Amino acid sequence: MHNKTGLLPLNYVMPFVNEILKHRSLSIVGMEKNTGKTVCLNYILRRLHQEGASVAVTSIGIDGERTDQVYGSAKPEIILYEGMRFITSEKHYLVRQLLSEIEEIDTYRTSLGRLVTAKVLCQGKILLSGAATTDKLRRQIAHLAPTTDLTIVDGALSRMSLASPTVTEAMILATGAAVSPNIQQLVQKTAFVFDLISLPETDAEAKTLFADKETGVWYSDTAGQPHDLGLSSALMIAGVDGSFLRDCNRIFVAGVLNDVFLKYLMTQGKTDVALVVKDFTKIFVTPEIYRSFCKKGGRVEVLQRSSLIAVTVNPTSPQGYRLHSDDICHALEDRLHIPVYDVKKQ
Amino acid sequence: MILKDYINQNPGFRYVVEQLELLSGVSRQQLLSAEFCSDHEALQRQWDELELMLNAIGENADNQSFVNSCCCDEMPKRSENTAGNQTLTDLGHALMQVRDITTSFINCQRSVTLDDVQLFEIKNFAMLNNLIAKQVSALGVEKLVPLPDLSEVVAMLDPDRSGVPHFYIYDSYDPRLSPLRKELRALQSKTEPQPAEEQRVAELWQQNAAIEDEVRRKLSSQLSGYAEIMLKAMHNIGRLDLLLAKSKLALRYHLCKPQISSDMRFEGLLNLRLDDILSAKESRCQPVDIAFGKGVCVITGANMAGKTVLLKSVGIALLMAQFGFYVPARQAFVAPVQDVMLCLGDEQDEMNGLSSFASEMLKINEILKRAKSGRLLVLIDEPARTTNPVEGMAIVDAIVHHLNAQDSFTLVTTHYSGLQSDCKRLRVKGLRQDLDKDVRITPKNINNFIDYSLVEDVAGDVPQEALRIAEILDFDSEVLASARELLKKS
Repeated sequence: MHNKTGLLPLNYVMPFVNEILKHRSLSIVGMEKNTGKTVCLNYILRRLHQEGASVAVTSIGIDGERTDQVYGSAKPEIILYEGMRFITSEKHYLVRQLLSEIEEIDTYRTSLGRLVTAKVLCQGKILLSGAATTDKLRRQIAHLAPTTDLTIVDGALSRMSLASPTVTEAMILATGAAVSPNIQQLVQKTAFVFDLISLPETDAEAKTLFADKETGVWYSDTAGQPHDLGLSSALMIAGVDGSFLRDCNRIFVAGVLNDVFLKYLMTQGKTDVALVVKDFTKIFVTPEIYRSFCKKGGRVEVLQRSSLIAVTVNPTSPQGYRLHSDDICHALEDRLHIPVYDVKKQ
Repeated sequence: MILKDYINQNPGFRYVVEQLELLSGVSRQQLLSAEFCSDHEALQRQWDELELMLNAIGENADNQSFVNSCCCDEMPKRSENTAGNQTLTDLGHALMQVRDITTSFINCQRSVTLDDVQLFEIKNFAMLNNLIAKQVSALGVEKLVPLPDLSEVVAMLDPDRSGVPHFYIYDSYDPRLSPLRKELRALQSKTEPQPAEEQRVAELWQQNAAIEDEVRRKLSSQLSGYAEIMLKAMHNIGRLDLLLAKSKLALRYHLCKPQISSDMRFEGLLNLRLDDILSAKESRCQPVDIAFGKGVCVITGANMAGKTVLLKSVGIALLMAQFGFYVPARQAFVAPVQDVMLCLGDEQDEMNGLSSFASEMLKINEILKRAKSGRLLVLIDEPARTTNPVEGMAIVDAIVHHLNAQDSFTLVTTHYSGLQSDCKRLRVKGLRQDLDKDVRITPKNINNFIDYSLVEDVAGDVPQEALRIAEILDFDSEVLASARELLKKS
């Protein structure tokens, strides 16, 4: 039974905390709002506190609102323990309900003021808000790294970008009734994201070929030579003469991979190439197009794979709709073949 | 006008200002809002201050390694790291941490209760101020940049004497805080708190917040007495940063201290931007000597002889001097003016429906108007070059005649021969005459064969080298031959 503060009872154990400690940074990403990210974060923080790990917490954009910004429902606050460090905006720092010592103030400005780094002296509640860009977030994680075992980033809304392995090493995916009140749809939608996260890493040869390519669309020929297609975005593929595909065994999209690109390959009848992207956060395709691309033999690979630690479920939707916890967990486990945890388990 | 206005309209001067390596967050605003100074005494004081700073740096460190370390080209080697050098490095690190917290000081002055973030900033500032003050006296420039001792402020915000620039409302501020927080910690560490205990936790937080607010109010009112001193200290730290940056610039470019005079005279004048561009191509800019007095000085010279660059260089050098910089010359005598006005003829304003001629005339008109009431440095590049030569020459002659009678210093470049006005005339030597026959001049190396130095021109005839230069630039030979024919006939 979770109590008023949104804490899970200690006898309910999500066994992935030890797994988390093998990494230096972790993001918690929700498929939607109200998928129980904060409950999950609070659970992890409490467990990490018991483990005695030195932890820093921040978020991307605004989060940790006392009430949900979209639905106005009550939201559990983030509870931090003595010794933990956190980064939040000036505005949220001043309304904290814990005792903490300011260590640093960044010159970087967010809509809620500058970012304050502080250390908790007596446990309590905090509203988290952080850098607005993944680039700034990456620099912050690097800045905290020498003095922290693990930096946890709380995601905002449905932003996946922070789960990029270039930002955080590991991730937790939070899903739930907020995604769809229909279990079948919920499973389908979650499975799609799960499949993208689980995409295999490409081989060593392709990694060396494409690792330093920051922009454009590239392909390698059968002799293993890289060629630039001269496109600034994968969207522009539609007008490209398909003859290059005859002598091509890999295509690398440095930016965002979209439907247009998959459709192009299918129209050209060339789906037996390895399509490589940087990581799963660069993929913005609709499930239907992706599935039909895969059915035709297409495969997508990543330069860097994310380490997915767990999938968590919040069976309650923000409209108050409540699904049966065991039903969702089992349905998801059957499809994903990994353990799924209910964050509000009774 | 302030410096910001000049850098917006003068790219060459902007380049110079951009070379300043400001470290703190408080000097940029000071720099941008600096007034163009024409007061002799104030100017002399600014240059003297810079000289004092440069002397202090010179006595404390090996110049070259200081400049190198400033340019980040190469870090000074350990062995070169003398004690004085260390002071400068430490000073640089301290300056980099200083932020502009004017708002907090003003709040403090108005006795507004400061929050933890502002108190943290003030504590940080006070600690940095004391550190910088120590280094300033190690450099021996404490009279030049007086900084207060803010130990009392530090003591107020660091009651436990931790020496760490962190901040919170420490237990030692109020005897009630320690026991209260102890109880809070004990209650919060319970894993399954009872409802009564949760109630108590909420109460304790409330009490804690109330005491903290009391402490903040008290601290704020104690600090308000220091607000003015701290504001002044921040201003002086900005000045220090600016002086250091100007010194670095002077060392890096071998700038010279200008002297006040009734005429203008630059020996070995350089254009820093051009010199940097040429240096990158392993070439150098040829330093030029130029001297002129009140009235007009007409400069003639072949195409590509560097007349426009010369005008720009004079303008930039005087702007630098009157904003308290040293100048890019071997020696510089300047007569301070009230404004530097340029008309380079490249401000065609098609957007406003004006031709290049029209916008040029408007600009010169503005100059004529301003020159009536004040002493200016006026730089006009080839006026009336875009209209017919008959009227064009009359216009130039009239402008020169008019400005020659004014109190301003005016440089006018032109290709027109036979100006009637009685004014000083200089000519750029241009393409060297003593070249061997077998020297191959190409558009790429032509700069090496031009002598950019100026000579007094008595005859008033302009050199006719346009065809020769066109030839070097590989201009169409048939067209060139026809041009020569036509010239012969006339």
